Amino acid sequence: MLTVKSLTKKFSSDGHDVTPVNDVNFIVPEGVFAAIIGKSGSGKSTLLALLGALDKPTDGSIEVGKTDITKLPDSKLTEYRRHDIGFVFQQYNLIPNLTALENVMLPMEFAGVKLLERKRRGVELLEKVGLDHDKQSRRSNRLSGGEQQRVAIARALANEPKLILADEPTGNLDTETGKMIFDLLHDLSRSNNVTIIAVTHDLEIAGKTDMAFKLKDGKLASGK
Amino acid sequence: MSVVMRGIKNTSRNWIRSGAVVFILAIGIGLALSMLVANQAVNNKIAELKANMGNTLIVNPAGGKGLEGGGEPLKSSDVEAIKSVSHVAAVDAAMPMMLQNQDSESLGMIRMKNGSGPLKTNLQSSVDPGTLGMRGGSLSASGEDGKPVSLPIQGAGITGNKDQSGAELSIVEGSKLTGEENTALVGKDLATKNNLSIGSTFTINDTTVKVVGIFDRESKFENNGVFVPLATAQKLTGLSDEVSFIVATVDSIDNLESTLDAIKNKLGADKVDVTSSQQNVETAISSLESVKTVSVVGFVAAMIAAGVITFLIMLVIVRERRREIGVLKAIGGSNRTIVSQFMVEGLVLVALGALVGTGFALASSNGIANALVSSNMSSSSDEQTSAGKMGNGPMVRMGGPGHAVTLGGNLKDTSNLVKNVTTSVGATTLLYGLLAALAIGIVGSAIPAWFIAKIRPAEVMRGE
Repeated sequence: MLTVKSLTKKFSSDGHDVTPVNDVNFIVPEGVFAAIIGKSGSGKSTLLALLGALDKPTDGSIEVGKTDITKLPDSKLTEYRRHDIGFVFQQYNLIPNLTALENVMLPMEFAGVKLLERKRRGVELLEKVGLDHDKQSRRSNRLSGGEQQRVAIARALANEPKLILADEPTGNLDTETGKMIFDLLHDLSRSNNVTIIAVTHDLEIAGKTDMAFKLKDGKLASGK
Repeated sequence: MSVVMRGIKNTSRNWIRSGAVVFILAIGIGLALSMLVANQAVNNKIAELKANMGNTLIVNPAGGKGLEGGGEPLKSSDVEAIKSVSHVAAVDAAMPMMLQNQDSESLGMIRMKNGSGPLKTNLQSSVDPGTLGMRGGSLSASGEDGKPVSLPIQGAGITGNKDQSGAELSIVEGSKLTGEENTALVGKDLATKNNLSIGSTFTINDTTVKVVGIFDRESKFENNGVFVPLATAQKLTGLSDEVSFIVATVDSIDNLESTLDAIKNKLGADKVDVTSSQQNVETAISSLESVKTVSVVGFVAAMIAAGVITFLIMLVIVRERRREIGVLKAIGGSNRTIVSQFMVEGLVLVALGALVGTGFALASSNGIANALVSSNMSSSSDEQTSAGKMGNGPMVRMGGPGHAVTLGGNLKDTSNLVKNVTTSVGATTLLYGLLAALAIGIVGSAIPAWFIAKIRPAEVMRGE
């Protein structure tokens, strides 16, 4: 279970104080596919970065299970990112000179998984997201947008995390491919009992998730 | 794929840039290695100078030198006495002799100490008297009795294969003297003038002498000379058991002064003059020490330059990949892993640069070392040349080249030995140089990666 209490993030930009996340509270049960919706600049991506320990909040807490990750030192946060969460970015963010398989194997390498096991699981995950052997051995920058996002999803699942955070996972894709990626995430949520929190501005997609929160000017405006 | 493999693979992301970086690093590292090799070569040369040139003592009869001055002649027993002095490693004795062509009249006041005058030979002097040679008194090309005049041929009886200054003779053809009676080494110019080759013969006072070797002392004056075994010279001059001067080689330059005093005490301070060649060598060593300093400064400067290049290149690479660093952290990469990856990448570039640079150093170190030595020796060499000129003029006029050869030869031999620095890239030198290069590679690549890796992933990714 993910419990967010009084979460606030402030920073200074061009001499002005900005509060992209302002006293946000919500709970997401385990195995649920939740969406965070809102307009550009509403604080969706900042909230996701806080949940993924990519940034530190100014105030409030984020409890994953019984651990408040806002209290963890940097070394523990690295372990949290390594073992407990998986990221899917709008820009895919694959390492361009590595193959699809090598990209998927990377988080497992960080987690200390042996080489043979890394390969076995990498191939299995890529097949699960629908990439055949030929695509697996291609450099990631030689794949299409949809294929790269599939690799990114496989990479996010590499260390079998409890939580996947997806920042506009369909934002760079055409409608049909976007739908396929969304369905893929949805299936994974169901089959692997993984909690998924996806940021999106696509209301149709948000409508298909189990939960949705709307952010407006950094504050939680409504939820379903 | 491990951190190391990923680091290596990353160097191939941009071949043109990597190639340019390797090339620039190769120049820096190659220059640094060349300086290190030059430093080592100069060190070896200093050791060689100290061992071979700076540790000789010249023993002359008190008041005499070569064919000049007075005093009582040295005896073979003096040679044996010097051999027994502590720290004396080797003793060479010599007897200068003057040879005059039997069909010509001599210039100047040449007289052997036994009053017999110069020895007669069928050899023709390879040095033309010219205007300088005529200053001794004769103003025409023919003497008082109508014979043509010629300069004498300088000669010496020696015990080993060293000249009067203790420097090893450079044999360009044939072999060294073995002590065999009536054999000779002749100067290159004298051999050419008289059509002498190995096995040829000539006469000294009607004694037939066989040529066994031809030497080159790099001046027309000194190549107009003959060296014979000391015993042969004693026999030809009729001065058996006498030697004109003795060259004592001391085991270490550090023992030079004490050995000088010991020889004086042994033979009698009123009987012998003992001089050391240390001062000339100290001048040469001082110049080489300057070269050493220049090479060390050059090495450090080149290494710093290579380090700065590595740092700046890695800074550019790391900043370009800020987002990638953020992603690596987001998917669980630790700061150490990220720094290691960039360090490997930097090290690969430095290692490739070092590899090419080693080739550059191998090809250029000899030239660089000699250029450094030559440029540094020019001033001291000029000083030595002017000193030699001051000494040579009046001595030739006096007809006593023995003295001029002793002094001038010593200066020239030291200078030549110093200028002829030969480098060789030793494994240890190379290892130290490469370790230094790798160290700057580690520091130059780790610092920028460390600063970026410490930043929170969101900041890095937001900055894109």
